Amino acid sequence: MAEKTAEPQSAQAAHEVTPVGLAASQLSALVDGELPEAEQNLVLRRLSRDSEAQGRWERYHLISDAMQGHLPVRFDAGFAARLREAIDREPAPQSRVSTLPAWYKPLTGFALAASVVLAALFGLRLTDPDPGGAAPTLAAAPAPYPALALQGPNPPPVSTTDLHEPPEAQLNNYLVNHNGYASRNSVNGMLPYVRLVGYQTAR
Amino acid sequence: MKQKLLPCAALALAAGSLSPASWAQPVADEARQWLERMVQATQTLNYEGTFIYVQGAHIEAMRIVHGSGPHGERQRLFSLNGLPREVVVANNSVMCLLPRRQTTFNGGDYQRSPFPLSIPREIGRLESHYQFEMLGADRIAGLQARIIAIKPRDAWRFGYRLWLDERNGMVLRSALLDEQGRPLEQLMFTDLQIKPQVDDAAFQSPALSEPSAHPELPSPPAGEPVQTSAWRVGPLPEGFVKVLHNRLAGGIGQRPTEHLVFADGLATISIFLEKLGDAPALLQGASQLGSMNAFGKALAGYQVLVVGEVPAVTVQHIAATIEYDPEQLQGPAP
Repeated sequence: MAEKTAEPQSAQAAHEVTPVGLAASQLSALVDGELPEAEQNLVLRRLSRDSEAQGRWERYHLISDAMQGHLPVRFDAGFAARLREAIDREPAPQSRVSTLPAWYKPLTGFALAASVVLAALFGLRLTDPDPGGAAPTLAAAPAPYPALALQGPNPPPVSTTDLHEPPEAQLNNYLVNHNGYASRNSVNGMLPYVRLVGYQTAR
Repeated sequence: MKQKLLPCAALALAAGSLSPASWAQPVADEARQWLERMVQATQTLNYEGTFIYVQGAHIEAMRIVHGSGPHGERQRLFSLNGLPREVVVANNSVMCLLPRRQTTFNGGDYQRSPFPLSIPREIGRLESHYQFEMLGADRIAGLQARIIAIKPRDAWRFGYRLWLDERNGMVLRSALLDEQGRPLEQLMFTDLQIKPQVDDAAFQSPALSEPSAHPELPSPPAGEPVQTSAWRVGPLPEGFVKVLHNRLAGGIGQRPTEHLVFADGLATISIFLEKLGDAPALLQGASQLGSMNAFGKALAGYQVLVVGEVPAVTVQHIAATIEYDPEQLQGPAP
């Protein structure tokens, strides 16, 4: 999985190459806009081939934004996937994005949110639908919630409410967790998941 | 092998219309055996099916694929109408695609929590709190079914009615009944196929990628079991046993939350204790979340939330018993 092919030599010589292929420092520099222009193209090209790096790239953005207090109201978790597509096909693929249902909002539950945080911290990638596949729905889904979670132990400058998340939606976090465990403690383990799926339109 | 039946919403909506007076003569032993078969069947059978789910005024059609593979139990459940929603359970992970809240994740910590898994099997214990009855036969999705009534012995829990496949105990239809015996929630298969094996392709979700796709990656650690807690939960209604007490995401940026789960074998109650900081409380008072009741209160800078598929009075009662006592931290958790 480690993709460690020789890259054209440039200012990146000292970059530490992570096991996932793309230098973390390059990614970081790209996120911070500090990557020399000459390198940008290269890094973007590698990014387009490396789904793991895409996930990290998104998380670096989250971290960067969180540290600078620039958290977007909505964070687009599928950006990397679309970036790859944009590189593959020159015409910007905004048509895919435009099919994104406006109601798609992120994350489900603390354990889930926590998982995403852990994923970020431990190098786990977010589950990413095959960006080349025919299912752009998730790739295009925004994901503000993990961004919030990445802000560290200090209270974030914005609350979840500021992310336009109605309290009722936040309650879903509880439901996801509750049903996740309920499924294992009931004689009919199927029902809790059914409730989870069925609850969503019950309003 | 079987003909597909048209979904029959009217039939589903009529479920639970049997009055409590029509409960048949108790045949508890037989009912218990059927329940044991059901637990076995729902976990071990390979099946694909379509069912309708009715909850209050809402009706849904869903598809389920269930099977066991080299990595254990797998399940894919997705909605067939309205907004796309999906839950995939595989390889100790849970992934959700839920609108409004969205999305996919590797829920590695979900299934790893070290709590006893035997509770569903301790069906005998259920009899202290529920009365079992056999209500005769019926036909669901073209299959002969036996009807089992599970009636609570007190007002702390809901009742159930189950239609089980005569061949193997698989649940073909179920109803959750409120205190008056009215259906709160119903599920009924319109088509069910038991198979020796389910094709891998049937588990593949176009929207959610397989969590096992990256087995080389470390799994996120489980929610940390709580050893000491500042929270004290009063005596719960008899029969509810604590099966989990975890601290979620504490210390890694998420607002620290304790999650307690209590189960009586049929019903499950969660207590969430989330530090609010400066954020306003999410819920104060009673609320109904689908077929679940919830009761929330703010206490000592925390959101206290009790939720479960139990009557409103149960969650309210439990919420009222919850106390914050930092001195508890000195000693072991209750």
